[in-house]
Amino acid sequence: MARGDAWRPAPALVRVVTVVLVTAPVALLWRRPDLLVLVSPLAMVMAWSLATRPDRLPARRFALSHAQVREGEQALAVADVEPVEHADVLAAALSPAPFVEGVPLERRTVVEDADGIEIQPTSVVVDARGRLDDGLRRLVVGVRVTRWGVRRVGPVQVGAVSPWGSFRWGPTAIEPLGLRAIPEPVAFDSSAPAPHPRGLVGMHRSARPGQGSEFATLRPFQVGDRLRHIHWPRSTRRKGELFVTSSYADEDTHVAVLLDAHYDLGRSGGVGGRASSLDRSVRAAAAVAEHFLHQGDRVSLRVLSGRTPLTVPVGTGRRHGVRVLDTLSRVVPAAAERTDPARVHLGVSAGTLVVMISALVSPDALTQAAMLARRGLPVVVIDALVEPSRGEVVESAEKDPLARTAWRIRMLERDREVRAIRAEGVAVVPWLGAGSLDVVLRELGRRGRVGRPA
Amino acid sequence: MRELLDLWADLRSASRTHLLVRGVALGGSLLFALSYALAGGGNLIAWLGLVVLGLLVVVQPHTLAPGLFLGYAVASWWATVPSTWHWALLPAALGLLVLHTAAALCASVPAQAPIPRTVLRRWLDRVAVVAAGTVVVWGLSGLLTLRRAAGLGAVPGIVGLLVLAVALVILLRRRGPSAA
Repeated sequence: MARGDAWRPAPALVRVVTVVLVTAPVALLWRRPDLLVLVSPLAMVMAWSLATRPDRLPARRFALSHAQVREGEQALAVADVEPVEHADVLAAALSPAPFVEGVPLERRTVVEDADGIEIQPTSVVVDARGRLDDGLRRLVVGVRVTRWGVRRVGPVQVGAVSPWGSFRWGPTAIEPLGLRAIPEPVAFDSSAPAPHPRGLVGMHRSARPGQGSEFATLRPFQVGDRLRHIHWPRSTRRKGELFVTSSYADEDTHVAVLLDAHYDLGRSGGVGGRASSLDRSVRAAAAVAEHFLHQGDRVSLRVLSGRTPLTVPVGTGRRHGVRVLDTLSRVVPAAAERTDPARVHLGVSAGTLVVMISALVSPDALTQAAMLARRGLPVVVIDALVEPSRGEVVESAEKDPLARTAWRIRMLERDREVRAIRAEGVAVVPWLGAGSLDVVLRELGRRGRVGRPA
Repeated sequence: MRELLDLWADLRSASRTHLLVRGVALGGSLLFALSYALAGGGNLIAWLGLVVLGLLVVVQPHTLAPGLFLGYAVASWWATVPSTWHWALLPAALGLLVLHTAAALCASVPAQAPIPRTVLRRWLDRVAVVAAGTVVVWGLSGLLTLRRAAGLGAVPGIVGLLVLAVALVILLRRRGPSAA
């Protein structure tokens, strides 16, 4: 039996018993009936409390309303407690956990404890007498997950008191549960087409004529052309010759999203707060994947991390998007051992657009980007160390001047490394939200068209 | 110092209903202090001591503070109120009841959680029932004391205590080993 998993006398009962048992003899010995009158309500409370001592231990369980939410969204932590006989008030409180906030039930001011940690409204009190669900009383605490990832909700401490608060059960801890928070994609849009579409159907204009929505030219009618493609204004101008409108074929492309999760630099403040480099990376990866999937392209995901080397194979559609977001929510940063360039094999074939999102401080990620570019693949690296609001690399938050100097030196080295991979043909762009990739994608598309027959 | 800061943070982050109940505890302490003064007991320092202890109960209802208040209150009454019965006994006893009940409720639930209205109402009902019992005890005590109880002396008190003790023994025996 866990400590606290029993009905025990509360300080309130100890208080009244002590006062009554000490006062009564004094009153008798000193002939002071007024003292008996003074403590008579406490004596009644004591008798009432002893007569209503609960015996049975309450059954309890803990669950979450959702298995998965988007970061910033709310879920309900539900503790069910059995209202045993003589239980009067039930209470539950969630232990503090990183990036899990309580949803206040009333207006409140932000208060911090002695450690400077904000006190969260993650507790609830209910009347033991009320509507039962499956024989249990439901205690519901609203929680808001403020950062992507698998977040710990709990452990939840549950407790109950008897009438007059004289006997107390708990607080008893129930094991915590994991709530998966998928990243909230940042605002992203791109009007530029993918550079090298190779598929059969899709949103991008092919260089080849075929079935599509984009006008190519007017040409003389050939056997097999559909009648609805006849261009009547032009055809009626010359007798005996029909013209049809031809179009470019529509194609899709394969976008390989590579997420560098070797390091997480900076401190995350969750949704609406400061973003760490991995926050920016994950949200940008989610945005890029959602954007290309929405266009009808095929997207794959590979996470470069020593701890969670996750892979999502090529796919398309809404369900695939959910799969990508779900995988992103499981990313844990960890530096990998140095990769042997000869063994880099990311499952990308010719024509694939590679979008790598990286803070560009890991040699492993830089190596892989360079290797892919050498294979002739269009590679775009999104620099996740750049603060989107300022458009420059975030500064060190360290107070130690030595650490700040070290950071500056590392940033200089990083600039040199970025120049080196640019020289290899890798486009490096900062993540600045909507339209970030337009210029680069257009440039890559132009390069691609120059290199292949129309 | 750290514990004091935590208590202060706990008080500042408490829900409105929780603060209301703590306020009621303070009201109980003030009621006792006023009744004590009206009964002719104590002096300015004793009254201030009660107010300070009442404030301590408000800040930390889950610690020894309510017990200290009750002990100090009964001891002060015994030491400085001369008469064996006074009309102010009733509000004084009710003040102690209110303070104890409010402190018990505050100590039973997390400070940040609002206390449901139904719980407040039920606890209020219980206080009313005990208060009614206290009025009866106060009235009987007054009758017996003022009429000198026909020379019965401490007999009514002893009988009352015996009844209480017998009731407790019966209760504990009925519950037996299952209560352990």
